[in-house]
Amino acid sequence: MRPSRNTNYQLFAMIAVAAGILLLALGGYLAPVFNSAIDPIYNVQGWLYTRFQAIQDFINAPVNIASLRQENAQLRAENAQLQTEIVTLQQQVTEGELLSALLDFARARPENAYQAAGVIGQDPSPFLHYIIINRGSDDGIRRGMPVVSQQGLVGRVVQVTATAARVELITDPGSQVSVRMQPSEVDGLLSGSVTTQLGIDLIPLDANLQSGDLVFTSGIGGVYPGNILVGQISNVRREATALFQTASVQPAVDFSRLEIVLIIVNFQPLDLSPLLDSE
Amino acid sequence: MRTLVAILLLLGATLLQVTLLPRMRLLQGNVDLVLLILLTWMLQEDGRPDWRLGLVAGIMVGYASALPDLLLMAGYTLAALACYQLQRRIWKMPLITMIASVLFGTLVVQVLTLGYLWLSDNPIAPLDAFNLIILPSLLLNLILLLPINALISELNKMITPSATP
Repeated sequence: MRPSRNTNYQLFAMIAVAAGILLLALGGYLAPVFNSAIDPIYNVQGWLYTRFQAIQDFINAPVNIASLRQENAQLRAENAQLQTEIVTLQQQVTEGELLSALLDFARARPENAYQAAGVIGQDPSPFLHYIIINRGSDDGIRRGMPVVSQQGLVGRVVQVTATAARVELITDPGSQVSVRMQPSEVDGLLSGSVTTQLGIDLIPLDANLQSGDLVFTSGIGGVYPGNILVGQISNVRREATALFQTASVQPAVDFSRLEIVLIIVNFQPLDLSPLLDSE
Repeated sequence: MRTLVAILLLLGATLLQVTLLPRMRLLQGNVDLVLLILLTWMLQEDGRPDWRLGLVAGIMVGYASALPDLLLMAGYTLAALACYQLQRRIWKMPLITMIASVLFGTLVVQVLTLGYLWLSDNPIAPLDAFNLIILPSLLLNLILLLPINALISELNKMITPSATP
Protein backbone atom coordinates (compact mmCIF):
# COMPACT_ATOMS: atom_id res chain seq x y z
CA MET A 1 0.00 0.00 0.00
CA ARG A 2 1.57 3.33 -1.06
CA PRO A 3 1.34 6.32 1.24
CA SER A 4 -0.97 8.93 0.02
CA ARG A 5 0.16 12.44 -0.94
CA ASN A 6 -1.56 13.82 2.20
CA THR A 7 0.47 11.55 4.42
CA ASN A 8 3.68 12.80 2.85
CA TYR A 9 2.65 16.40 3.42
CA GLN A 10 1.81 15.62 7.05
CA LEU A 11 5.18 13.94 7.59
CA PHE A 12 6.98 16.82 5.97
CA ALA A 13 5.06 19.30 8.04
CA MET A 14 5.84 17.42 11.24
CA ILE A 15 9.53 17.26 10.41
CA ALA A 16 9.51 20.95 9.56
CA VAL A 17 7.75 21.81 12.85
CA ALA A 18 10.13 19.55 14.79
CA ALA A 19 13.16 21.14 13.10
CA GLY A 20 11.73 24.59 13.77
CA ILE A 21 11.18 23.80 17.44
CA LEU A 22 14.67 22.31 17.62
CA LEU A 23 16.21 25.41 16.02
CA LEU A 24 14.23 27.70 18.32
CA ALA A 25 15.33 25.66 21.33
CA LEU A 26 18.99 25.70 20.22
CA GLY A 27 18.72 29.44 19.69
CA GLY A 28 17.46 29.86 23.26
CA TYR A 29 14.14 31.31 22.23
CA LEU A 30 12.17 28.65 24.05
CA ALA A 31 13.91 29.06 27.42
CA PRO A 32 11.10 31.10 28.99
CA VAL A 33 8.63 28.48 27.92
CA PHE A 34 10.74 25.63 29.33
CA ASN A 35 11.41 27.54 32.55
CA SER A 36 7.77 28.25 33.13
CA ALA A 37 7.09 24.58 32.65
CA ILE A 38 9.98 23.33 34.81
CA ASP A 39 9.87 25.84 37.67
CA PRO A 40 6.77 24.33 39.31
CA ILE A 41 8.45 20.94 39.20
CA TYR A 42 11.60 22.39 40.83
CA ASN A 43 9.51 24.07 43.49
CA VAL A 44 7.74 20.86 44.34
CA GLN A 45 11.05 19.00 44.36
CA GLY A 46 12.61 21.61 46.65
CA TRP A 47 9.66 21.51 49.01
CA LEU A 48 9.83 17.75 49.21
CA TYR A 49 13.62 17.79 49.70
CA THR A 50 13.57 20.27 52.57
CA ARG A 51 10.80 18.33 54.36
CA PHE A 52 12.66 15.11 53.88
CA GLN A 53 15.92 16.71 55.08
CA ALA A 54 14.16 18.06 58.17
CA ILE A 55 12.79 14.63 58.99
CA GLN A 56 16.21 13.05 58.38
CA ASP A 57 17.90 15.65 60.62
CA PHE A 58 15.33 15.01 63.33
CA ILE A 59 16.00 11.28 63.20
CA ASN A 60 19.81 11.66 63.12
CA ALA A 61 19.93 14.60 65.56
CA PRO A 62 21.59 12.90 68.56
CA VAL A 63 24.41 11.59 66.41
CA ASN A 64 24.87 14.93 64.72
CA ILE A 65 24.90 16.91 67.97
CA ALA A 66 27.69 14.76 69.31
CA SER A 67 29.71 15.09 66.15
CA LEU A 68 28.93 18.82 65.97
CA ARG A 69 30.08 19.33 69.51
CA GLN A 70 33.28 17.49 68.74
CA GLU A 71 33.77 19.48 65.59
CA ASN A 72 32.98 22.68 67.47
CA ALA A 73 35.59 21.88 70.10
CA GLN A 74 38.15 21.13 67.40
CA LEU A 75 37.35 24.37 65.61
CA ARG A 76 37.59 26.32 68.84
CA ALA A 77 40.97 24.79 69.60
CA GLU A 78 42.11 25.52 66.07
CA ASN A 79 40.80 29.05 66.36
CA ALA A 80 42.68 29.61 69.61
CA GLN A 81 45.85 28.27 68.05
CA LEU A 82 45.43 30.51 65.02
CA GLN A 83 44.81 33.51 67.25
CA THR A 84 48.02 32.73 69.11
CA GLU A 85 49.87 32.45 65.82
CA ILE A 86 48.43 35.78 64.68
CA VAL A 87 49.61 37.48 67.87
CA THR A 88 53.05 35.88 67.52
CA LEU A 89 53.30 36.93 63.89
CA GLN A 90 52.18 40.47 64.72
CA GLN A 91 54.87 40.63 67.41
CA GLN A 92 57.43 39.35 64.91
CA VAL A 93 56.35 41.96 62.36
CA THR A 94 56.66 44.72 64.96
CA GLU A 95 60.03 43.42 66.05
CA GLY A 96 61.12 43.12 62.42
CA GLU A 97 60.14 46.72 61.72
CA LEU A 98 61.98 47.85 64.82
CA LEU A 99 65.11 45.92 63.88
CA SER A 100 64.91 47.27 60.36
CA ALA A 101 64.77 50.83 61.70
CA LEU A 102 67.71 50.11 64.00
CA LEU A 103 69.63 48.66 61.08
CA ASP A 104 68.95 51.78 59.04
CA PHE A 105 70.19 53.88 61.94
CA ALA A 106 73.36 51.80 62.24
CA ARG A 107 74.01 51.91 58.48
CA ALA A 108 73.67 55.67 58.49
CA ARG A 109 76.57 55.86 60.96
CA PRO A 110 79.14 53.36 59.77
CA GLU A 111 81.85 54.88 61.97
CA ASN A 112 80.24 53.32 65.04
CA ALA A 113 80.05 49.64 66.01
CA TYR A 114 76.79 48.63 67.61
CA GLN A 115 75.53 45.85 69.84
CA ALA A 116 71.76 45.39 69.98
CA ALA A 117 70.13 44.65 73.33
CA GLY A 118 66.61 44.07 74.55
CA VAL A 119 65.10 46.05 77.40
CA ILE A 120 64.18 43.60 80.15
CA GLY A 121 63.24 45.88 83.01
CA GLN A 122 63.16 49.26 84.63
CA ASP A 123 64.35 50.50 87.97
CA PRO A 124 61.67 49.85 90.60
CA SER A 125 62.27 53.23 92.24
CA PRO A 126 60.13 56.02 90.78
CA PHE A 127 62.93 58.47 91.59
CA LEU A 128 65.34 56.91 89.12
CA HIS A 129 65.01 56.56 85.37
CA TYR A 130 67.07 53.51 84.56
CA ILE A 131 66.47 50.53 82.31
CA ILE A 132 68.00 47.08 82.44
CA ILE A 133 69.19 45.47 79.20
CA ASN A 134 70.00 41.85 78.43
CA ARG A 135 73.63 42.35 77.36
CA GLY A 136 76.56 42.47 79.74
CA SER A 137 80.31 42.18 79.96
CA ASP A 138 80.19 38.78 78.23
CA ASP A 139 78.95 40.62 75.14
CA GLY A 140 81.62 43.30 75.32
CA ILE A 141 79.52 45.90 77.11
CA ARG A 142 81.50 48.25 79.31
CA ARG A 143 80.59 51.00 81.73
CA GLY A 144 80.13 54.38 80.10
CA MET A 145 79.14 53.15 76.63
CA PRO A 146 76.46 55.31 75.02
CA VAL A 147 73.08 53.76 74.26
CA VAL A 148 70.90 54.88 71.36
CA SER A 149 67.74 53.82 69.59
CA GLN A 150 66.67 54.43 66.01
CA GLN A 151 65.11 57.68 67.24
CA GLY A 152 68.10 59.11 69.03
CA LEU A 153 70.06 59.18 72.28
CA VAL A 154 68.79 56.95 75.11
CA GLY A 155 71.48 57.18 77.78
CA ARG A 156 74.65 55.43 78.88
CA VAL A 157 75.65 52.22 80.59
CA VAL A 158 76.37 52.80 84.27
CA GLN A 159 76.58 49.30 85.68
CA VAL A 160 77.46 45.98 84.07
CA THR A 161 77.14 42.35 85.10
CA ALA A 162 78.11 39.33 83.03
CA THR A 163 74.75 39.07 81.27
CA ALA A 164 72.96 42.35 81.93
CA ALA A 165 73.61 46.04 82.24
CA ARG A 166 71.93 49.05 83.75
CA VAL A 167 71.44 52.11 81.57
CA GLU A 168 70.90 55.61 82.92
CA LEU A 169 68.36 57.36 80.70
CA ILE A 170 68.94 60.97 79.73
CA THR A 171 65.66 61.76 81.52
CA ASP A 172 67.09 60.68 84.87
CA PRO A 173 67.37 63.60 87.32
CA GLY A 174 71.08 62.87 87.68
CA SER A 175 71.81 62.77 83.97
CA GLN A 176 73.67 65.59 82.21
CA VAL A 177 74.54 65.70 78.51
CA SER A 178 76.54 68.30 76.63
CA VAL A 179 74.44 69.31 73.64
CA ARG A 180 74.54 71.60 70.65
CA MET A 181 71.48 73.26 69.16
CA GLN A 182 71.00 73.43 65.41
CA PRO A 183 71.00 75.65 63.43
CA SER A 184 72.24 78.17 66.01
CA GLU A 185 75.36 76.06 66.83
CA VAL A 186 75.04 77.04 70.48
CA ASP A 187 76.20 74.66 73.20
CA GLY A 188 74.36 73.90 76.40
CA LEU A 189 73.97 71.38 79.19
CA LEU A 190 70.94 69.10 79.02
CA SER A 191 69.57 67.77 82.33
CA GLY A 192 66.87 65.27 83.20
CA SER A 193 64.23 65.69 85.86
CA VAL A 194 61.71 63.71 87.89
CA THR A 195 59.02 64.71 85.42
CA THR A 196 61.00 63.07 82.56
CA GLN A 197 61.16 66.47 80.89
CA LEU A 198 64.50 67.58 79.58
CA GLY A 199 65.88 71.06 80.08
CA ILE A 200 68.93 72.88 78.77
CA ASP A 201 70.79 75.27 81.03
CA LEU A 202 73.76 77.56 80.53
CA ILE A 203 72.64 78.90 77.17
CA PRO A 204 74.17 82.35 76.52
CA LEU A 205 71.67 85.18 76.50
CA ASP A 206 72.69 86.31 73.03
CA ALA A 207 71.90 82.92 71.50
CA ASN A 208 68.93 83.05 69.18
CA LEU A 209 66.95 79.90 69.83
CA GLN A 210 63.55 79.00 68.42
CA SER A 211 61.00 76.36 69.24
CA GLY A 212 61.59 73.45 66.91
CA ASP A 213 65.39 73.77 66.83
CA LEU A 214 67.06 70.38 66.90
CA VAL A 215 69.29 69.30 69.76
CA PHE A 216 72.28 67.02 69.18
CA THR A 217 75.03 65.76 71.42
CA SER A 218 78.09 67.99 71.18
CA GLY A 219 80.71 65.46 72.23
CA ILE A 220 82.15 67.94 74.72
CA GLY A 221 83.28 66.22 77.90
CA GLY A 222 83.84 62.92 76.15
CA VAL A 223 80.88 61.18 77.76
CA TYR A 224 78.85 60.88 74.56
CA PRO A 225 79.91 60.96 70.92
CA GLY A 226 78.83 63.99 68.95
CA ASN A 227 75.96 64.48 66.52
CA ILE A 228 73.44 62.09 68.02
CA LEU A 229 69.91 63.47 67.95
CA VAL A 230 68.56 64.17 71.43
CA GLY A 231 65.32 66.03 70.76
CA GLN A 232 63.71 69.25 69.75
CA ILE A 233 63.39 72.52 71.62
CA SER A 234 59.81 73.02 72.72
CA ASN A 235 60.10 76.19 74.78
CA VAL A 236 62.72 78.89 75.41
CA ARG A 237 62.78 80.97 78.59
CA ARG A 238 64.65 84.25 78.89
CA GLU A 239 64.60 86.13 82.17
CA ALA A 240 65.86 89.66 82.36
CA THR A 241 67.90 89.13 85.51
CA ALA A 242 69.33 85.72 84.64
CA LEU A 243 72.85 85.18 83.33
CA PHE A 244 71.76 82.40 81.00
CA GLN A 245 68.61 81.37 79.22
CA THR A 246 67.03 77.96 79.52
CA ALA A 247 65.06 75.76 77.15
CA SER A 248 62.75 72.77 77.43
CA VAL A 249 63.42 69.86 75.13
CA GLN A 250 61.03 67.28 73.79
CA PRO A 251 63.06 64.05 73.64
CA ALA A 252 63.28 62.28 70.28
CA VAL A 253 63.03 58.89 71.96
CA ASP A 254 59.76 57.58 73.34
CA PHE A 255 61.13 56.20 76.61
CA SER A 256 57.87 54.53 77.58
CA ARG A 257 58.07 52.21 74.56
CA LEU A 258 61.73 51.22 74.53
CA GLU A 259 62.11 47.58 73.51
CA ILE A 260 65.40 47.25 71.69
CA VAL A 261 68.38 49.59 71.96
CA LEU A 262 71.81 49.84 70.38
CA ILE A 263 74.97 50.18 72.42
CA ILE A 264 77.87 51.95 70.75
CA VAL A 265 80.63 49.53 71.68
CA ASN A 266 83.59 51.25 70.00
CA PHE A 267 83.20 54.50 71.92
CA GLN A 268 85.51 54.96 74.88
CA PRO A 269 84.25 57.63 77.27
CA LEU A 270 86.95 59.94 78.57
CA ASP A 271 87.82 59.66 82.23
CA LEU A 272 88.41 63.22 83.36
CA SER A 273 88.48 62.44 87.07
CA PRO A 274 92.32 62.61 87.38
CA LEU A 275 92.25 66.11 85.89
CA LEU A 276 89.45 67.14 88.19
CA ASP A 277 91.26 65.70 91.23
CA SER A 278 94.43 67.64 90.43
CA GLU A 279 92.50 70.85 90.63
CA MET B 1 57.17 26.62 104.88
CA ARG B 2 55.56 29.99 105.56
CA THR B 3 58.89 31.79 105.22
CA LEU B 4 59.59 29.99 101.96
CA VAL B 5 56.21 31.01 100.56
CA ALA B 6 56.80 34.58 101.71
CA ILE B 7 60.19 34.69 99.99
CA LEU B 8 58.71 33.30 96.77
CA LEU B 9 55.94 35.89 96.94
CA LEU B 10 58.44 38.69 97.43
CA LEU B 11 60.51 37.37 94.53
CA GLY B 12 57.47 37.35 92.26
CA ALA B 13 56.54 40.84 93.43
CA THR B 14 60.07 42.07 92.70
CA LEU B 15 59.91 40.68 89.17
CA LEU B 16 56.59 42.42 88.58
CA GLN B 17 58.00 45.57 90.13
CA VAL B 18 60.85 45.61 87.62
CA THR B 19 58.99 44.55 84.49
CA LEU B 20 55.33 45.50 84.54
CA LEU B 21 54.58 48.02 87.25
CA PRO B 22 56.93 50.84 86.18
CA ARG B 23 54.74 51.19 83.07
CA MET B 24 51.64 51.76 85.18
CA ARG B 25 52.24 55.15 86.68
CA LEU B 26 50.18 57.81 88.30
CA LEU B 27 52.05 61.03 87.51
CA GLN B 28 55.56 59.81 88.30
CA GLY B 29 54.63 57.56 91.20
CA ASN B 30 54.15 53.83 91.00
CA VAL B 31 52.87 51.15 93.31
CA ASP B 32 55.35 49.39 95.59
CA LEU B 33 54.09 45.85 95.28
CA VAL B 34 56.98 44.41 97.28
CA LEU B 35 56.14 46.64 100.23
CA LEU B 36 52.44 45.79 100.02
CA ILE B 37 53.09 42.05 99.91
CA LEU B 38 55.60 42.33 102.75
CA LEU B 39 53.24 44.25 105.04
CA THR B 40 50.05 42.33 104.23
CA TRP B 41 51.91 39.06 104.71
CA MET B 42 53.25 40.20 108.07
CA LEU B 43 49.78 41.24 109.17
CA GLN B 44 48.47 37.73 108.54
CA GLU B 45 50.71 36.47 111.31
CA ASP B 46 48.75 36.21 114.52
CA GLY B 47 51.55 35.93 116.99
CA ARG B 48 55.02 36.88 115.92
CA PRO B 49 55.39 38.42 112.49
CA ASP B 50 58.88 37.98 111.11
CA TRP B 51 60.28 41.48 110.57
CA ARG B 52 63.39 39.96 108.98
CA LEU B 53 61.35 39.56 105.81
CA GLY B 54 62.00 43.29 105.42
CA LEU B 55 65.68 42.52 104.99
CA VAL B 56 64.86 39.94 102.33
CA ALA B 57 62.61 42.40 100.49
CA GLY B 58 65.33 45.07 100.67
CA ILE B 59 67.93 42.72 99.24
CA MET B 60 65.64 41.70 96.38
CA VAL B 61 64.67 45.23 95.42
CA GLY B 62 68.26 46.38 95.95
CA TYR B 63 69.43 43.81 93.43
CA ALA B 64 67.10 45.24 90.80
CA SER B 65 67.50 48.91 91.65
CA ALA B 66 70.34 51.35 91.13
CA LEU B 67 69.81 52.53 94.69
CA PRO B 68 72.23 51.12 97.31
CA ASP B 69 71.23 47.76 98.78
CA LEU B 70 71.79 49.03 102.32
CA LEU B 71 69.41 51.92 101.82
CA LEU B 72 66.63 49.68 100.59
CA MET B 73 67.31 47.06 103.25
CA ALA B 74 67.05 49.78 105.85
CA GLY B 75 63.86 51.17 104.34
CA TYR B 76 62.01 47.87 104.06
CA THR B 77 63.25 46.67 107.45
CA LEU B 78 62.07 49.88 109.09
CA ALA B 79 58.70 49.46 107.40
CA ALA B 80 58.52 45.85 108.61
CA LEU B 81 59.51 46.83 112.15
CA ALA B 82 56.89 49.57 112.17
CA CYS B 83 54.29 47.09 111.01
CA TYR B 84 55.39 44.71 113.78
CA GLN B 85 55.08 47.38 116.42
CA LEU B 86 51.76 48.66 115.12
CA GLN B 87 50.31 45.19 115.10
CA ARG B 88 51.35 44.67 118.71
CA ARG B 89 49.90 47.97 119.84
CA ILE B 90 46.66 48.23 117.89
CA TRP B 91 46.06 44.56 117.20
CA LYS B 92 42.28 44.85 117.62
CA MET B 93 41.97 47.06 114.54
CA PRO B 94 43.65 45.22 111.68
CA LEU B 95 42.41 47.60 109.00
CA ILE B 96 43.81 50.63 110.82
CA THR B 97 47.05 48.75 111.40
CA MET B 98 47.28 47.87 107.75
CA ILE B 99 46.65 51.38 106.49
CA ALA B 100 49.00 52.91 109.05
CA SER B 101 51.70 50.38 108.16
CA VAL B 102 51.44 51.12 104.45
CA LEU B 103 51.42 54.87 105.05
CA PHE B 104 54.48 54.70 107.24
CA GLY B 105 56.28 52.11 105.09
CA THR B 106 55.77 54.05 101.87
CA LEU B 107 56.91 57.29 103.46
CA VAL B 108 59.98 55.67 105.01
CA VAL B 109 61.16 54.08 101.76
CA GLN B 110 60.47 57.18 99.65
CA VAL B 111 61.93 59.68 102.11
CA LEU B 112 65.07 57.60 102.58
CA THR B 113 65.48 57.46 98.79
CA LEU B 114 64.98 61.20 98.52
CA GLY B 115 67.49 61.81 101.30
CA TYR B 116 70.04 59.55 99.65
CA LEU B 117 69.65 61.38 96.34
CA TRP B 118 70.19 64.68 98.11
CA LEU B 119 73.32 63.41 99.83
CA SER B 120 74.66 61.91 96.62
CA ASP B 121 74.66 65.32 94.93
CA ASN B 122 71.62 64.49 92.87
CA PRO B 123 69.05 66.78 94.42
CA ILE B 124 65.38 66.63 93.51
CA ALA B 125 63.12 69.50 94.47
CA PRO B 126 61.23 68.30 97.58
CA LEU B 127 57.95 69.80 96.40
CA ASP B 128 58.22 68.07 93.02
CA ALA B 129 59.16 64.82 94.72
CA PHE B 130 56.23 65.10 97.10
CA ASN B 131 53.65 66.08 94.48
CA LEU B 132 54.78 63.92 91.62
CA ILE B 133 56.18 60.82 93.29
CA ILE B 134 55.46 60.39 96.99
CA LEU B 135 51.76 61.33 97.04
CA PRO B 136 50.81 59.38 93.90
CA SER B 137 52.77 56.35 95.10
CA LEU B 138 51.04 56.57 98.47
CA LEU B 139 47.66 56.77 96.80
CA LEU B 140 48.37 53.80 94.54
CA ASN B 141 49.61 51.75 97.49
CA LEU B 142 46.47 52.52 99.47
CA ILE B 143 44.21 51.72 96.51
CA LEU B 144 45.84 48.36 95.94
CA LEU B 145 46.17 47.54 99.62
CA LEU B 146 42.76 45.91 100.08
CA PRO B 147 42.79 43.69 96.98
CA ILE B 148 46.30 42.52 97.72
CA ASN B 149 45.39 41.91 101.34
CA ALA B 150 42.46 39.78 100.20
CA LEU B 151 44.72 37.74 97.91
CA ILE B 152 47.37 37.26 100.59
CA SER B 153 44.71 36.36 103.13
CA GLU B 154 43.31 33.66 100.83
CA LEU B 155 46.79 32.34 100.18
CA ASN B 156 47.48 32.30 103.89
CA LYS B 157 44.33 30.27 104.49
CA MET B 158 45.36 27.82 101.80
CA ILE B 159 48.79 27.11 103.21
CA THR B 160 47.79 27.24 106.89
CA PRO B 161 44.18 26.08 107.21
CA SER B 162 44.42 26.34 111.00
CA ALA B 163 44.76 30.10 110.61
CA THR B 164 41.18 30.30 109.34
CA PRO B 165 39.03 32.00 111.97
